[in-house]
Parts: sequence; structure tokens; C-alpha cells
Amino acid sequence: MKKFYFSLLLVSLFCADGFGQQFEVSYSASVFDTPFTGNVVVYMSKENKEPKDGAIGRKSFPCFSVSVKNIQPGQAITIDDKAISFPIALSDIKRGDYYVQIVWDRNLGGHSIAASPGNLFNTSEKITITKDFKKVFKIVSKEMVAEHPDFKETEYVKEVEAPSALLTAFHGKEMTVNAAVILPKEYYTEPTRKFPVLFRVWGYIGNYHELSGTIEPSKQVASTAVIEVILDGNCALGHSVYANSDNNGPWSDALITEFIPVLEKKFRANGARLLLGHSSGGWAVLWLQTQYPKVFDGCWSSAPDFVDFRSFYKVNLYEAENMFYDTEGSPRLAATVAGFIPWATIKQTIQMENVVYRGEQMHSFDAVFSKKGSDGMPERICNSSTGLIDTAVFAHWQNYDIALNLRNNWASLKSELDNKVRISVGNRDNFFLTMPLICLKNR
Amino acid sequence: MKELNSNFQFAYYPGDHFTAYTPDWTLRPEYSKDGNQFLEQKYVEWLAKSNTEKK
Repeated sequence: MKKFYFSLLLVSLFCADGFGQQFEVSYSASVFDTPFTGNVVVYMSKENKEPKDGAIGRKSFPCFSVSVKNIQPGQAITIDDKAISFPIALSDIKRGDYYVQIVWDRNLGGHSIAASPGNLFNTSEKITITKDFKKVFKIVSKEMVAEHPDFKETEYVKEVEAPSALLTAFHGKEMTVNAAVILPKEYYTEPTRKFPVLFRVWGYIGNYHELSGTIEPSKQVASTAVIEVILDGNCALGHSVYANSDNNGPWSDALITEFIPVLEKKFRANGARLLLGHSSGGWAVLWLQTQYPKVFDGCWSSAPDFVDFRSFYKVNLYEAENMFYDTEGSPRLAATVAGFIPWATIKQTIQMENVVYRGEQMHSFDAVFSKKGSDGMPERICNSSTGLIDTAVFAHWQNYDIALNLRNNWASLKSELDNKVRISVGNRDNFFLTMPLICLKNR
Repeated sequence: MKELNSNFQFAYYPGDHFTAYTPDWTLRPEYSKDGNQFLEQKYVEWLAKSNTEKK
């Protein structure tokens, strides 16, 4: 008899495991009438009515993705427990009500999947996950993320889209280096005067289109009138930080040899080039200044991303074995409140980005610092399941360790670079960006 | 940079990643003042060097 019940239990478990909640998702021909190939991402949230807009890694919410080929409009695909998932398989997530959005990523160049123009999505739907493992949720995407409206130029704000033969050759499609240019009021009151240019690089998720229609002239740098150039670094894999990289392409070269000549020909620039940036923009300007000290004449880098890989989210990448846990087994943090109150762990962030597979912060680092992988995507600094750091991948990252570069090349850099750099940071940076600067300072 | 005997400037301000952001930071203008003065000084040095080279 015991044997019978044990067999019955096994059969029950097998059956339960054989079916779980599923999504059957499709897109309407009314929004996109050609076949789709790419990744489909499911975003779910109990609180956020627009779950696709949730901050990946900073907020923890269930998400799932599958890769599909040649799906026709109206053709349903199934998303079930075989999908790449966070935090666990679909049928195992906590019961209850969820808002759900599906995004079909056409990967046309926008850096965030949820906000990339041309991507397909559905108006948020509320569903209830119960113990009904046979439940199938059918969701049709009928919306498309709109293109940015045309940049509205004003007397003081202009848009520059400089064609880039270098990036076009790298990506195999037409590419430009874009920016907003803000002119000083003196540009019109003193029509023969030439001005220094302040290149200001915005941080992660900044977008220069936010300046469309601005009517204010540029602010002075202390008492100096400048032409201000706003660069946002946006690219399909995150923030280019205007570095040449295996995955994003030759952004430094494009900026310096293609964009700047167009800019300086179009506007009355006097040849002086100053740099200012915060966060990823702070890293970008420090990189540009230290790599091209003859091109730029001064740099103020504010709270730059990790400038010394001996302290990458407090992980010493030269020594550590695991990105998720420290040597005592405690989870490592990716974000904090005021530098010490836990906000998000590295494990949570990387595992969510394993589902939302491009454009987010950790992937953005991989895209700049890593080689291109055999699948065409950036090699990952660590295993997304275990957190084990890939030392071969990190070997390539070291090319982008600013502190290491400075130490190794100081003799040749000193004469052109030494007085040109100022770096500032808050003493309680949310992302542990204070410590790398201390490492750099003491290097 | 200390070991390299460099003249890089480092500044640490009370605050986090967002409150220490500088040029548009209106509540504590001294944060941005230092940075802007630094950039202006670099421009003055560029002007001097540029004028010297022209001569």
C-alpha cells in the first residue's frame, strides 16, 4: 500500500511539474505587420502599474524572457517555466495580483528595451496568479514605443547630428554622433567673438532630447561664456562613455575625429575644449581627458563610475572570486541609501539583467569593458547564476582601469595631463563610488 | 596619484550620488563654484598658452 501511495505521489509531482502558468503572447498586425525576430520580455509587478518602466536591479520584480525567430503578426508564442527567469520560474512566483507588460525588443538602437523606439508592448494588464497551474494568460501587444519627436531648435539650442563613417562601418548601418548645443547670449550680442566649448556628458539614462525647445542660453563657467555641448552616450548596449570598445564601436574616435570637426566648423568655437560629466558621464570625461590629453584642456569629473577596479562596487576585481558574495558569505551590494543602507544586491541586479538582456547598467559595463562574445553579445564579467568572476574577461577589463592606465603610463602622460583634472564625489555615494577615488588618489 | 606625485585635484563633499551632483545644484552652490572655477582656470591657462604660441 505504501508503495502505491508513493507511486501516486510521484505521478502527482510529475504532472504538477509538467504544467504551470503560461503566457501566450502575440503582437497585432495593426502595430507591426512584419515578422519578428528577437527577444520578448515579460515584466511583472505587484505595485507598479507600468512594470516595463521599473528600474532593473534597483527594484526587484519578476521578469522573464525568451528568444524567438520569424514570428508572424498574430502568432502566439508561449512563455512558461522554460523562459529565462527572475527570481524564479513563472509557476513558482508568489501568488497574487500583478500588473503585466510584454515588450518585443526589435533592438533598433535605443538603450533601454522598455523605452526603445520601435519596440512593441501592451497596455498594462492586471492578472491574478493562483494555484491554478493550467491558467494561460493571453496578451496581445498593440502599442509601439514612439520615435523621439523632432528636436525643436530655438535661438540658443541647436541639435548636431554628425555622420560617423567609423561607427557606420562598425555597425553596418548609418550612424551619427548626436548632441544638443547650447549657445551663450554673447553669441548674438558679439557676432564675431569665438568661444570655448564645454563638453558636458550626461550620466546613465540621460537623453539630450530633454533640451528640445529650451529657450535659455548656456550658463557661464564661472565668468566665462561657453558653447555648451550636451552628450548623452546613449547606445543600444547602454552608455558608450565615448570609449572605443569591442561591442559599442569606436566612439572616442568618432567623437574626436568626426563630431568635433563638424561642431567647430558649424559654430564659432575658439579651439579650447573643456570636459564636465557626472556618474557615467564623469567616467566618460575622465577617460577622454586621460586618453587624449592633447585634445582636451581641462576636465571636471563628478562622481565618476568606477575609476579603479580594485574597488568595483567594493569588489577588488584583481583578487575576488565571487561578485555576489564576500569572503564571509555576505551578499555584496550594488546600491545603497547614503552609502550604507542596503538598497539592491549585485546578485539581484545581475540576475535581473540576465533576463532583460541589454542596455542596463551592469551590461553597459560589460559592453564597454569586455570583448565581444561568441554569441555576438558582450562577455559577462561573472556567471549570472553563481557570481563567479571570469578572470579571462577581467583581463580585458583592465584596459579600462583608469587608475591602472595612469600608473602604467604616467611618465608619458604627466606633461600634458597633470594639471588638467579635478574629480569630486559625495562622501556617501549610493553606488560606492567614493572608495575608487580614494584608491586612485592614493595610487 | 599621490605615489605618482601628480597634481590631480580631489574633492569630497557631504552627500550622496545625487545631492553631490554639481552644476545644477542650487541648494549648495559652493559645490559647483569650486568646479567651475577650476574649469575657468584651465581655460585661462589655455588662452595664455594659445597666445604665446601665436607670438
